[in-house]
Amino acid sequence: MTLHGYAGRYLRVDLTTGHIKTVELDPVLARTYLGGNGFGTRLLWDEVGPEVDPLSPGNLLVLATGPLSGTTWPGSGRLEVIAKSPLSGAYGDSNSGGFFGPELKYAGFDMVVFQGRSPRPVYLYIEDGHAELRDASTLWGKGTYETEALIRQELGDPDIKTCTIGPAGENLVRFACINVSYMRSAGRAGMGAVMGSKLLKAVAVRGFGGVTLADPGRFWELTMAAHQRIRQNFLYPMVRQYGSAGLTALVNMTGRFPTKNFQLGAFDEHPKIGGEALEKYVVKHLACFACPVACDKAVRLDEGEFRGTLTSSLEYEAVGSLGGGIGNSHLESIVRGNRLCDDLGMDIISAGRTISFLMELGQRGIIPPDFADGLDLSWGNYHTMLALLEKTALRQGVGNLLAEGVRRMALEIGPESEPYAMHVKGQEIACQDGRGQQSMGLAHVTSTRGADHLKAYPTIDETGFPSPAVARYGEQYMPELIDPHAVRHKPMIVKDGEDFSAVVDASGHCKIGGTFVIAEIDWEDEAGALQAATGWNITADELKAAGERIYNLQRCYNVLHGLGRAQDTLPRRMLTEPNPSGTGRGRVVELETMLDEYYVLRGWDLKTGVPTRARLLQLGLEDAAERLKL
Amino acid sequence: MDTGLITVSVRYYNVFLKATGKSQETVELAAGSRVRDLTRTLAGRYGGAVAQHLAEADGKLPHYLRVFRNGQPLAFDPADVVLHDGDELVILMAASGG
Repeated sequence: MTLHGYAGRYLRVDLTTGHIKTVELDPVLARTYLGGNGFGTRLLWDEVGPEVDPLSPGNLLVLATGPLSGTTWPGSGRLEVIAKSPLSGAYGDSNSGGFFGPELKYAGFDMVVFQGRSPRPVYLYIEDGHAELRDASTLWGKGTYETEALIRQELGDPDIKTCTIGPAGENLVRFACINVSYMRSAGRAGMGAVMGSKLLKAVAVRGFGGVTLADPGRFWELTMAAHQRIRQNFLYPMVRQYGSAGLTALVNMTGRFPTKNFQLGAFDEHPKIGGEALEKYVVKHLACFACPVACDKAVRLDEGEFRGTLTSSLEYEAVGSLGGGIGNSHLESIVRGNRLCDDLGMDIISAGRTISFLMELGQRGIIPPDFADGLDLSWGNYHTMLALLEKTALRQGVGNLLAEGVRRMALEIGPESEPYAMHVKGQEIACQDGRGQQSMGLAHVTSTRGADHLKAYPTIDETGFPSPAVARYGEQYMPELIDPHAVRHKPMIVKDGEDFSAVVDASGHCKIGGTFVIAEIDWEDEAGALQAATGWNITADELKAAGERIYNLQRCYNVLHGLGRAQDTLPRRMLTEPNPSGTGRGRVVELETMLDEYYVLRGWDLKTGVPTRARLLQLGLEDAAERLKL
Repeated sequence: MDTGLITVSVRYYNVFLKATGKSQETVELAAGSRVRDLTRTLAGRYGGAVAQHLAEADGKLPHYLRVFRNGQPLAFDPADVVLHDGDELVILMAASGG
């Protein structure tokens, strides 16, 4: 039976034995969990229990696409990576743009599930329905750029798409990422460390097939209309010109730009490092598969200390993490740091936060001056930043401590350091200060993968445009809904964002190009595209239930790992130290009020934060209710 | 001495920086001028993309425009807000995300 929108098969690769199996995709699984993080969540729930260490052979590593991956739907080049996270010790996932996801489907597979641990370094090569493990001994130790090039050279095909890890993944740096062709990353939650723990250096894929659609004509109509709306959106020129780095000025003015490890919410020198300053180094606008926006920029330094550096995906979070976060206004060093993180294979958000944490501990005298192998920990010392990135990836000297992430660093250094470890559930907080936007404060807490802005992605009250907010939620929620400092209605938009995000990540397309940023695709559009792609008579309401099902199962997985309301909190700084900057000045995150309302909306127990049996039954998650003894 | 004029400074980011070619400038306006008078002055001065991004519809400024005065955001349709001598304004197209 043709499963429209899907390849209809996936690979199971046992790295311990080297056995590779092709499995038919269950149509019920597809309809219930859609794809991407939906598939991965279900697999973790079914196969990776709380006794499994994230870096042990018992963890799974899932690379998954969705029914819109590889189609003409805007931004349908996304790949979802799912595993138990070595940062949180619970649910983890990460999402990447690029071209790998579509290529995997063209090769005939919706996803690849890795289990076990290889006895030696290997990479998996997939081509048109076939897969084989190949020796990667000569690739081990190499950076992601060289690895990608060598694999293409070995296989004699310049169009092969890869997922690769660098030395950070090999060395089990807990926030190691996976780099995805071309020059994109599955950055968060330490997926690269899981890959490294399996001695899996890379996955390479080449496919010459396509994606079958139930109603190609209708799908084409919807696709073209969506592309056109995105191109006509008022934000399109700005996002296309500057990418997310173009947000830097506004985020500073609103006091949401974490500066010096969140001691400040604005960086006086931000004009030196924002998208406008970066523009002089941009040599090309880069688009992922089927993307009308091209928010990614190739950046090259032709002179100065870091002459010859070429990098891409230098986004707002890079500017924040290696710039304001450590008090650094030297733009070229941020470009260099971005390149290093990509090549070494590390999440730039977490990497930057470990350095800013160390610098604040130095500022406060909590660690001695010679703590960092003799490196000067003064704010803004970019040579120290670059040295620490390398030391972290290689676990050299103090880098061995940074490689553990800020939560474990604080445990090692001592309780006096803990208040300055900016994380939630072990994952470092991105450059989004919730004290300047209440919904973001809540979003970091309720994210299922630890601190994160991209699960709920509350963009609608960030700048507070009334018209998109009214269109999406209705006039009755104005004006509080678009006031970033108001708590009213914020749990609603966080929940809605999380459910929508779960569906977008499961379907296989982008959150920048049309959904949350340049927001032209809503629940109805998503349902329409899925109807035409799959032939299902799926409604927006059914889709909302699917998003809620995926998110609740992720929550149940975390509950299974001992996480609940007690862990749904923020670092003390966010709750008790008023933001000193911008329009966020004087504010803290009013978490408890929002959290109560959020739990009520979710149907979770107010005291424990555990989903109620009734809500799980409504979502068809009887097995989760049983397993959690609800 | 009352000259009947006020001077405001305007800082530009993103598309406005690109279109004006400046990061900052001072603008002289008649006393009692409103934001609308400033945006019309700028649209007339630069034309092109500046005029396009500041174009009014039904007497309102575009909803994607964000104008800050002395560090505080003005209302979403700030056209009628009266400006004062020495005001420091920021004009940008506000995107969200990150």
